[in-house]
Amino acid sequence: MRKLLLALTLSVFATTHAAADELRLGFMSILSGPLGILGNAQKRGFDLAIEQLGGKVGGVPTKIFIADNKGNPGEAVQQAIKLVDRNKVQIVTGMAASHTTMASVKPLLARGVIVLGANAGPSPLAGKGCNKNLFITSFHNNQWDEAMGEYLTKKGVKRVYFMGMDYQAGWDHVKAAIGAFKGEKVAEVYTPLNQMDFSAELTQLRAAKPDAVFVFYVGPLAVAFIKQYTQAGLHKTIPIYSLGAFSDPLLYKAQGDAVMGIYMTEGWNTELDNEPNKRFVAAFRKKYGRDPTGYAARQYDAIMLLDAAIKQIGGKVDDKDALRASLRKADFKSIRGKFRFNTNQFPIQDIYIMQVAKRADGSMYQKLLGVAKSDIKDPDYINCKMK
Amino acid sequence: MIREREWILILVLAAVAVAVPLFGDGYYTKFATKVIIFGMAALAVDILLGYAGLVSFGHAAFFGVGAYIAGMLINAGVVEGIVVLAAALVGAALIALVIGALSLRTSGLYFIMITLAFAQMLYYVGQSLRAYGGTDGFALDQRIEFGGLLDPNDTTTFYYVSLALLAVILFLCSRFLRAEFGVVLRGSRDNAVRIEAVGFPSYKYKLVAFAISGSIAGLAGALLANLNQYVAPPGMLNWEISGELLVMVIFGAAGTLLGPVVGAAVFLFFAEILSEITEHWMLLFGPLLLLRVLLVRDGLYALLQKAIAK
Amino acid sequence: MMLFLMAVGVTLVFGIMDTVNLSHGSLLMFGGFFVVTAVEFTGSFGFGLLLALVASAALAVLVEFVVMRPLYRRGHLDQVLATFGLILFFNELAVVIWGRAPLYLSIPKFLSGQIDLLGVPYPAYRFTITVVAALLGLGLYFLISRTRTGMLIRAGADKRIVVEMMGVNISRLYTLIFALGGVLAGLAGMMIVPLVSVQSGMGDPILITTLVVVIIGGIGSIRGALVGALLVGVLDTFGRILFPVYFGTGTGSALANMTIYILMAGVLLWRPRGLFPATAP
Repeated sequence: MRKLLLALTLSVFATTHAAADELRLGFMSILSGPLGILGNAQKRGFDLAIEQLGGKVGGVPTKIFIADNKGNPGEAVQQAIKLVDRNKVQIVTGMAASHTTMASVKPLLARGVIVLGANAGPSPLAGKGCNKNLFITSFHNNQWDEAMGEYLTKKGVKRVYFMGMDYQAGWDHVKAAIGAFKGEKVAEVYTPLNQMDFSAELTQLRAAKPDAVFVFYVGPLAVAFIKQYTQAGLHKTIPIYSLGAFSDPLLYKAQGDAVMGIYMTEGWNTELDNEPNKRFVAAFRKKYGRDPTGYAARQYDAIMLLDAAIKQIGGKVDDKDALRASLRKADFKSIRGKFRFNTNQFPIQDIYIMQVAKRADGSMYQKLLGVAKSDIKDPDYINCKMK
Repeated sequence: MIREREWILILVLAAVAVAVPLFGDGYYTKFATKVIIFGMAALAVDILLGYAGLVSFGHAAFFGVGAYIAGMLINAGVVEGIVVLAAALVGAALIALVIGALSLRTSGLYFIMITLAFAQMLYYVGQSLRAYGGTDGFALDQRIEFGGLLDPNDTTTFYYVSLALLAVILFLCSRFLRAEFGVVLRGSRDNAVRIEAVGFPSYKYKLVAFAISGSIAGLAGALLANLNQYVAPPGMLNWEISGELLVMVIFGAAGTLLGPVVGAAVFLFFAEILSEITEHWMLLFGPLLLLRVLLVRDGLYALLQKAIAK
Repeated sequence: MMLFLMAVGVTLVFGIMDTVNLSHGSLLMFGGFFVVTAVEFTGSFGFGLLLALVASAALAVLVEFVVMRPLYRRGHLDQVLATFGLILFFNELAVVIWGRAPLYLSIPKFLSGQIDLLGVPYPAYRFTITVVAALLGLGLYFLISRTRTGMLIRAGADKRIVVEMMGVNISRLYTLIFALGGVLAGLAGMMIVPLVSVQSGMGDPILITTLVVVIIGGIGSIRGALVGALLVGVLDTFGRILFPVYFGTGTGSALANMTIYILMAGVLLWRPRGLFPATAP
């Protein structure tokens, strides 16, 4: 069997050599396994962007390499190295969950590849772990929650119950919301990632009688939570506040009417009134027959940023210093409206407040209510000593 | 035990293993290192499975403990390879002693399940270590060093280090298992009552085997932590890893030393190739496992052995 | 109570047929998918449920016939490997057919409210599940201990050859048991859908918990499955509430997650063959 491996090694090895006038772009995300839904949503945004650019990012013929890290940090490292050593990519984008991002970023940066993270924004990478080759175009874990915390305070909600998933991003999100909220924190509860039954927690929640509950749940857990919340009748008395990922076009069908009226914050919305966004949403609806998700939107935006940056340096993708400088300027028309990079190359952006609602035809959507907070910076950039 | 012709097989495999870095690029060398590491862990499982007749569904525990010990030491500034690897080895062995002492009181399906239970407990311990990232895990600051003599950051060097360790383990195991120890172990698998009657306490022998097996898995875990420079519960401590290790052993051939290594190579190789072809690679991989069970009775290594014997 | 349904199925297959089937969780998952599809197709909750039950049974029979049958005479190890392969296959098959997004089923209006249970509002649907599971448990107990089929099943577990010599078609009996287990798992899947939604891979964590229940109860014992399921359910819930209070969120939640495994290890150390060993050693 080793012989077979060897034979294959040789045949594949022989075919890879990077030409000068092309861009070799890697897209790594979680495409299979339980979190695969996330990466596939992201890939739709990627595919649409590449399609609209006619396969040429920044006017340069682009070769695309797709890598699936299967939601496993070890695999993420392997795939990162494969992209660099075998596929000779210059830029990697994608990056879905925070743990795979943390794991794969290290070998990529060590090899001098430019990384455009388009989803997870883990705080360690914003502070001490920042790097000149690392651009997070999506968000910092704190931003959405900070906006939500302020919104709750402004709205005059007094006693809030906080719940979230028990892992790094969950702690980040919940703590940031608590930090920005000026009222009384009734409780701070974390539930394991694999726990689908919330009966015990909901009983406690009912007993505490808060004015509102802030939750950080995504994917199937968001579905399970909202279903059980409604079945327990809690939706009649305690309103839910959460983040954009709590209810999006991937989950509408599963969540049904139960999510109606829930408040969420996010850095982008289908209704944002700007030209690029209208074009993106219309094209996405035409191609996939439904509203885009935030995952797709952020990935699309990242590619458009890259496109503009490469155009501005005349397509010389091998000139890393120029490309970095051009990316840092972020001189492009973002579908999010205002967008610029902080010194740690994490975004400074507006966060919007929205509510799940129904259109006249009965389809569900995230209704834009307004800006929750403008020009939010993350709290970690002061710890970033960019070299 | 080892027949004349089997030496040829071993030599061929060894030659291929040594030659890998000469041909492939960095990625393939790294892939081969992963094979070596998982082969080592599968071998650990096979010591129990093939020689003592004990099915452990919880080797992810020792694998993960080794990885965590290595990761924690390195990030605390202890980077001397011999120290780190020895600590992982001993740490995993101690945990294995405790788990083994309790688990070996049961047998059969109950043994399978109690080992699984202990591994799950450790998984949740790993998940609750907030200082080490919880479920997300943590990155290692650097790899181990060997007194400045070898540079393990070089992919090829690290590969040879792993290969050498595997070779040493294979050698030691083959000596051990051919000596009195192995005979008693096999005896207690086949007929525990008789072995006890002759005056060998089979419980103690099994426990020692369990500890040895755990320590080898711990060493493999420490190597994997270094290879990826990342440690996290998923992919190291989860029950699927225990399952995969068992599958590798059965894939290769239980009750041989090289079988599990061959099994690991084939397993990872297929997973790699199939996932290149389609994101639905498991759709093909699952039936492949089925076919192996239904059609090939003794495992792939046994097939190789037979092919050579002809 | 969901656990109880799963556990009975697994305990029957494990205990009576002496066969390891890791893909039992997949049967649960398919039960969930079937019911969503069937309800959508027929437009009626009752019809859909019926159709999904038939589909679950058919799938279980198919699995038994194609995969399990050649495996009975093999060791547990081969069974582990084969059914591990089945898990991978089924999970991915579900993705190909139904996609990755979780699917969900709306429950009929009369089940979606709350009922008053000792002054506390309790979801009517959860109450229904408990009742259904209890009734099924009683029915199974009756089937196993009072009917001819049940007698054969019990006899088959102890002395396979004797039953065979008495002219009973043992392989048909096995198919029946496996199908029964499959239907129970499928039913558990159907009932869980309105609580948590259905998606690929959902059955695997449940399978692990189920195995814990089966082991605690003693392999092959229906009574054990019931006691085990209750113990695990109650302890798990209390652990989740109490541990974080006494040990803080970090250690507490780790301990809460470990509760059932600690319970299992404890039980096995005290009684190495579970609480209610079905067959004499």
